[in-house]
Amino acid sequence: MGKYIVLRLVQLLPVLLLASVAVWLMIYLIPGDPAIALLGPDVTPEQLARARERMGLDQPLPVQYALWLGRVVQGDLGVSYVGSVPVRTMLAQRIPVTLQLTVAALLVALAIAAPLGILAAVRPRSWAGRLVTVYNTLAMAIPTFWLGILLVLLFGLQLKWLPTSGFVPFWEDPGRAVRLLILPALTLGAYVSAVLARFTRAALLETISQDYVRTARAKGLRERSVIGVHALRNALIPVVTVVGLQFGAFMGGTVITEAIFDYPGLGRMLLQAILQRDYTVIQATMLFVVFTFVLINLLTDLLYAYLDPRIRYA
Amino acid sequence: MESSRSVPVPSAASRLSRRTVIRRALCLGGGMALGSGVLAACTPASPAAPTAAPAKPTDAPKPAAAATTPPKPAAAEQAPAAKPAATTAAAVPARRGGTLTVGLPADALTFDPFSLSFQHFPLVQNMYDTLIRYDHDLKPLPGLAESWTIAPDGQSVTLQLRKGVKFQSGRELDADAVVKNFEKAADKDRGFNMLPAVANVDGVTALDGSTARIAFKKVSPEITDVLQAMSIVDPSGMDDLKTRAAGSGPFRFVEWAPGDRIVLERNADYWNAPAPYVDRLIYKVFGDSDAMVAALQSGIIDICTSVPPKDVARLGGDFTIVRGYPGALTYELRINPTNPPFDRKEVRQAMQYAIDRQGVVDSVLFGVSQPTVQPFSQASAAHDPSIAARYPFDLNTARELLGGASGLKAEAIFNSQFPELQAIAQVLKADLAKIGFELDLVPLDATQATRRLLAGEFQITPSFSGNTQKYPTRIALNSIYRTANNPVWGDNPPKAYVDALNDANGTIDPARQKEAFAKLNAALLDESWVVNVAYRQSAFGLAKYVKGFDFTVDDMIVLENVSLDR
Amino acid sequence: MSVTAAQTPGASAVAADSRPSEPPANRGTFGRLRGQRAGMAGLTALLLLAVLALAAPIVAPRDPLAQDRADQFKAPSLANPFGTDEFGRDIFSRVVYGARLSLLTGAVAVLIAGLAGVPLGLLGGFFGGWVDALTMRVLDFLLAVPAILLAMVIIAILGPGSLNAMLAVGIVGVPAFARLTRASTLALKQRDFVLATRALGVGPFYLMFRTILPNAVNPILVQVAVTASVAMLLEAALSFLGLGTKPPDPSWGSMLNTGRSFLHQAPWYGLFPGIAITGTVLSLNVVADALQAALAGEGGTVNRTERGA
Repeated sequence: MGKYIVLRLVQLLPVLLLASVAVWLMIYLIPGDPAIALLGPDVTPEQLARARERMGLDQPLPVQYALWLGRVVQGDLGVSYVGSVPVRTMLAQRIPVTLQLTVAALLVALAIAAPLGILAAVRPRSWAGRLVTVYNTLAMAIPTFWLGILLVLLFGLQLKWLPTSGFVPFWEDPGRAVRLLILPALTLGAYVSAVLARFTRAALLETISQDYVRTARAKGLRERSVIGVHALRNALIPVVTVVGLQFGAFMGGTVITEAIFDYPGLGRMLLQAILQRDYTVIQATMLFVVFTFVLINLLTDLLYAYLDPRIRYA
Repeated sequence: MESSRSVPVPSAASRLSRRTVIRRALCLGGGMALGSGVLAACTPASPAAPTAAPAKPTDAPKPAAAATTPPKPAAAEQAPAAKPAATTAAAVPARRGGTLTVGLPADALTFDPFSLSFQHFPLVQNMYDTLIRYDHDLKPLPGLAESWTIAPDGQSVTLQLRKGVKFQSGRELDADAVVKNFEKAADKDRGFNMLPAVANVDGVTALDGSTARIAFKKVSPEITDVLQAMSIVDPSGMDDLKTRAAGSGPFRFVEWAPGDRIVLERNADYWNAPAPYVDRLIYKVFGDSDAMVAALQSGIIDICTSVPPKDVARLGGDFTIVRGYPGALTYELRINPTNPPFDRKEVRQAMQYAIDRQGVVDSVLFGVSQPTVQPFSQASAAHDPSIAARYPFDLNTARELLGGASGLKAEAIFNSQFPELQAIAQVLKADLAKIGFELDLVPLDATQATRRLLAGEFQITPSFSGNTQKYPTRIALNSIYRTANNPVWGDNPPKAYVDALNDANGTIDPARQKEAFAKLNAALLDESWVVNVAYRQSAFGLAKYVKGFDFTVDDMIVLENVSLDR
Repeated sequence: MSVTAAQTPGASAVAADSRPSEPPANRGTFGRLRGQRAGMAGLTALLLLAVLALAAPIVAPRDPLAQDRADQFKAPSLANPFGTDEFGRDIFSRVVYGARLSLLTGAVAVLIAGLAGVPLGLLGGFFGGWVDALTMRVLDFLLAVPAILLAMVIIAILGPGSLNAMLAVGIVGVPAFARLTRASTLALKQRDFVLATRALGVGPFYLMFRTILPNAVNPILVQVAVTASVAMLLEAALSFLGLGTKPPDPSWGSMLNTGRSFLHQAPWYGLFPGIAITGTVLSLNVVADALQAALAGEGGTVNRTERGA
């Protein structure tokens, strides 16, 4: 196992290096000048030249990359061109906010997916089972941005049950935080819930047909405990690892969800940064997203390998 | 766009009569008698009378002027709070204490009062003091300068500074601080929006601890505009403005959580006691105005600093809606006269006829505005009601001016950050299509739009200009009105325009100023490289228990007299 | 839909000689799809939409760009079945015309993603080596960036607009096609009928494009439906964020975006474009599922990429 981990880590390095070059380069392909973004419309050419010099924008590109990478390796992600705040501070502030949303969305997704998936596996032909299929099909097709609008319209504006925007850290005011999180978490979690429900159903169907489940049934155990104790526990392990693979969907979804609910997380920061040409913030955020994605993939692989020794030796 | 502007205001006495009329319109809501007693009730209670009046005493309002400037009902109806808050505070003893939470349309990103973007307008006046203030009639009132004397030649001003004013750091305000602030304003790296505003300042000297003299390079009719725009920063805090404020204003800086909020607390030593009234002032950062409106409705914030026009009517019942200063900005179409087909003056004038100003006001600005063919707001000395009908919406005339040429095409760029600019472009496009002129709309993000606006890389673009209520020549602070380094004209704008600006800048004689303003308007209307469309009037939404809210002529928000009457 | 039927005779002919290992039997994709009721319904809906888009000038009662500013925010009625927008334009006509853009985006994106991704996967899978390794690492990176973020960055480079949105969405789809084709190629190139063809001395390009590709077509076909669905969603999402179609051209995403800011004034504004997007994506998903079910057991599994928005 140890050797496998080392091997996987070594394989990671070129991807990460490539990612750093790509993230860095694509930012420089973007037209537009952060100096103008900083100084506003009525700037004079001299002011512009000074600012560009101060920001290091007058250096050759490879020099800019080397300088940048050197700093990134030391944990210095630079300072926002627009706000003069260290990007590390901004990330440190936004990551927990988005994490709160993604965790809530994941919980919502699991809370929806688990019963639906079980129902679909156990009673595929019942009307409830068919309803699950309809839900899955719909949830996989409905765009995040439209679902968000519909939820705002229904629960926010018509029924006035829930607030439609805002953020409170969970530990500061749990009650309010939950009320604020319900609509965005539903919006973000709906698609993943359908993916998970499908997967749960498939995994459960597979375990149900396994020998030990048949043995359990043969022992005369009640159906509920057969499914609940034996089949479900074993089916859930791959389901949980699939959650890791949905990280990309979550990250993409947060940009939209945070825009709809004016949620001050990473996604909104990134959208804002792209609109403002805030190079350092775009770079750091993209780098963070890619690194996290790669790491989560690695962890998922390792978890699989741990669960299924055949993979390690393949 | 050009919301990040410096904020000077006019000074010449000749305009005061018209402004007084407008102020009365704001105060009385139209039909009431214009007695001087009522007028007095509307006049703000000044903290202290200036010992030396900067401008000549105001003439009594002339009825004739009132007739020529009918009050705009839209502005009059909904501007109850337009009277300075001091009046309200005096009438009912204000409650003290509490926390006031205010929505901010974007994160501050800097606390330098010289670097102004639209999100700083709710902030700056509550952290910093300016040398002098203007009331809503643009009448100068003392600020950090207790009094000021303008030299008879109009080329210098001597300030007597208020004594005992302390910055947050404990440092006392003195003439040296004023000198340092003017040095900062004139510095290419640190001057930001103030840099062009102090272009005429020759030098500032400290005569003694509390007296400063500002010399100008030439006759300057806009001296009080400069003083009113000048926030004074604690010189010892000038290097840290990116992360914290260093002012002497009614509220002291406590903390800034980037992207989330800014916390201020009451300055117990404020010179304009008994203000301020609330103990704590929290600014919450929002990503869009819809979210800010929702936060007002759910009670998260007490003041929404930007209510979109579409929501003004809807919120009117449950909240106090305060209309901002009419015409703090003017929406316009900027046209590049060096680029075909707009190199022909007739084509530019055709745009004047082809833009449905009333249509824009109705369907884009939801009636929260008035159409205009001139950049100058009604309060401006250069505002001329007689030219209002110069360019009516008339597609037939527009077609004639296009000379029957078919297949005309142009590209309209705009900053997609401002949905109303896109909407104005769509209105124009639909109407131009009817007369065979094809307009291609190109949305750009803020940076690119700004770059192209500055470089003159456009044919036509909806935009807006500021400083339209100040001394009229101040519009030249907007890049499109510059006389040198102009994005479309370079250093050679139309001669009639430049002459008019120079005339207006070169005299402090009201009669000659008036003459120059008329020439200015004529040149603008004739050359038509800026087609004005409508005034922008901002709207603020207040919870009903918020009392004493006020704003400056620049739509900067003033909270020192706000109390919470829950 | 009958791409498999148009399979080159070369492969089958050679394969026929190379028993016992046969290339997968080819009973006609369409034939098997007909067994799937939901899939047929989805296909019918898509065909209807295509007809609607083509016949937009006939179907739409009004010019989608024509403003009637006095008619701002009229609720749905007989005259305006979906109501009117902030300029008094007919929302029904705009939704109908919006179908053109949406379908075109799907088609163009699939073309770009397929034309770039399939050869990449074929070459990589067939030749292997460092070129393959490098290509795959680049694709790994592209896959590591969430689709919508990748599209946003591409738009930031190219500038907003519907053509650029199509291009961005197409580029986002490349890795899925490439990996899918690569996996099929890796599996197929060890099969006896390929080895036999190679033994006949044909060149590598003949092998790749005429022997391997026709047999890898089924999973690619499913991927076409998946990519088209993701592409339409992404285009709508980009327009929703203000990075896609330029105003005043009708796009479902930008209509939703504008409608969002007028939720109080005109709640119905975003309803119909939303239904249109959901319906189209749903039809495509159902078709993709049905295709996959119909073709189950052949070639690699479909690379169901993470949905964009």
